[in-house]
Amino acid sequence: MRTDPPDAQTLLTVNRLVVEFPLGRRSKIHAVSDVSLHIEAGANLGLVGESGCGKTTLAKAVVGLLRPTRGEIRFAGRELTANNGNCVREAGRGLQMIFQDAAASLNPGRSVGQSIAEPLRVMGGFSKENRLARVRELMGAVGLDPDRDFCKRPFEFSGGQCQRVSIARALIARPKLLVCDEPVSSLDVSVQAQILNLLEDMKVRYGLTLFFISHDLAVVKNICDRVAVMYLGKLCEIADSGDLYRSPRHPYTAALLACIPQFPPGPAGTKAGLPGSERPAPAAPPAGCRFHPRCPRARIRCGEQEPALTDGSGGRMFACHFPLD
Amino acid sequence: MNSNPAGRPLLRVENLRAYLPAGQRHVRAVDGISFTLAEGQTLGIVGESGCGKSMLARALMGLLPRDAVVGAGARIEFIKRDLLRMRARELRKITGREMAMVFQDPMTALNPVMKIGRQITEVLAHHLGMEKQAAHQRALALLGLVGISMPNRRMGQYPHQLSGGLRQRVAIAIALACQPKLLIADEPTTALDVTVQAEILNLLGELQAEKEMAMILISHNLGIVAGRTHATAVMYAGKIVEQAPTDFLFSHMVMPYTRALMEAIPHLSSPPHTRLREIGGQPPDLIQFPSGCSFSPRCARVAPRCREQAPELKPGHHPNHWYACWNPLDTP
Repeated sequence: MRTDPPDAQTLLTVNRLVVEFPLGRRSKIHAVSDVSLHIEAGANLGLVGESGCGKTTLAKAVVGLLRPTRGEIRFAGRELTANNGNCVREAGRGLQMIFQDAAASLNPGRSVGQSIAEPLRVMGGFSKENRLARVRELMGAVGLDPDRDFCKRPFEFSGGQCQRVSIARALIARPKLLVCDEPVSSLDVSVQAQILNLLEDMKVRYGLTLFFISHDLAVVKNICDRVAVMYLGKLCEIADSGDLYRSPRHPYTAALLACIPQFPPGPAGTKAGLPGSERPAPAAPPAGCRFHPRCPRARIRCGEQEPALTDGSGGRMFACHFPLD
Repeated sequence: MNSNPAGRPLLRVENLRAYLPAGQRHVRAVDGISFTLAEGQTLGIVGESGCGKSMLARALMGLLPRDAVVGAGARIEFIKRDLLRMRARELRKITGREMAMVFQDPMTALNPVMKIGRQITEVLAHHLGMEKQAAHQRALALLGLVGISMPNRRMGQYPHQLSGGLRQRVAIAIALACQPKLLIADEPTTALDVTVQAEILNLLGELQAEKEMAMILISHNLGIVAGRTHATAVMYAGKIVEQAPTDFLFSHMVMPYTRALMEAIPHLSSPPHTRLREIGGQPPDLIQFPSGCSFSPRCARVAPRCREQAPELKPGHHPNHWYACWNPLDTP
């Protein structure tokens, strides 16, 4: 598998990353299995796939919450997987994360103002006044009222407001890359729209790049410039969002697209869905292409030989023996 | 208000109010809802969290909290019987048998320490008085019906051994065990993946058509209700604010709230970085209502009258179209 040479524009490079979890004494789960991708500054990357495909594991490995088994993660020219704590901590400032359940990611016993200031305390080198000024600025930026909301606790906020707090906390260290793990999945459509718009505003205001994980392809299309599709720990397709949505090459991408509730509704009687809701277990992935047991286009070769992620035209890559046109 | 003129009425709800005590005051969770559902028809109910959708479903099933107060003038007529004036014992013979419900979270709806098979046969024994062997056979058939492979093995498993999608299928199998005439599905796919969501919605649609069962499908996502229901009712602050045949509603909506809900959804057809329309402000506080229209504090088309006088449901541009708005959108 080829990885593009890192250049000045490349913010994050993930090279042949493997994350395994032990399962009992003998077997292992390959949550992330040989994944390579890169994110260029300013171009949001979306990561989509069903639950259990390894999206969150990949995100956690990128921000350093999990130690990868093998492989390399480089961020802004520094290797995060190196055994150099200082270097990793230094680089980590540029890399922050927000989570699906924002309320659970905040300390319930602390005021949200304290929670937002915490990254600055950990980093050190800021006076109290300085920290306070930064917290007030960020609270204003995410649409909270610094005077009224500073001393409130997370339980006094709705789910959408908690997500605003967690965005403020993530942005206070002025990161370059914000990893968003399903940040709107548990929110109502109306609140979801507010948070997505806020993320777009923050991207412009603070020069952010987003690594946006979601199982909702419509949401991902709205916010991302490039999209990677993941299945059972492997990438199956990565392309510019326009191309990916217009003409998916991998049958799994096409199946995912067909599952989105269309609005206005498509012609009556169109049946979406994938055969067999029972996905293969990650502990024992099928031989050959991991998607072949559920793939409508599978042939004998798919069960025998694993397709590599290969270059298509226009910077898109896909891993399929019999891609769609 | 008829959701569909065809077919005999199965369920008629009149002026249903359900208030929940909150300290000294009341949460007006369901605040004067009326609708009719004909046999074999599907009704979608959409709205944001906290608009009273789930409380409406619970009120229909007789599952309201004990301290809830149901308004005096309310009627829930199900096949010519008034459920609200029925003894609890008689009501239990109807709910679970003639009308059944599928909940949002199948993990909490299923008993975690009881095997799948027993959870299904229990319903069959209780409601239909089936013998053990017959109930077992019927349970196997039900699991097959909802598309569960290896039903024999599944019967002996516990809910935690199944994936979310399979659990929801089991919950549907239990709901369908007694061949109900009405199925109430309260956000049946919100906790599930997109692929599983499509499967479950397709399954519900197929079963509904096959068994000629009426269905109430509750969701916060208009996209889920679109194309899967005959009629759609939009709820806001415990009230129905617009209702119409689903196709008509999506092309001729006049209530600004319906439009706002629709525009908040990211569309696959729009290019990246398209700004989404937000619905400003917070969903209404169901304890302290604004005077006038409850949507007026968030409405882009608010007029002075909206803040003073609450609009009543009035007929729209179609025999079955109803809306409650002083300043409706112009229809194309």
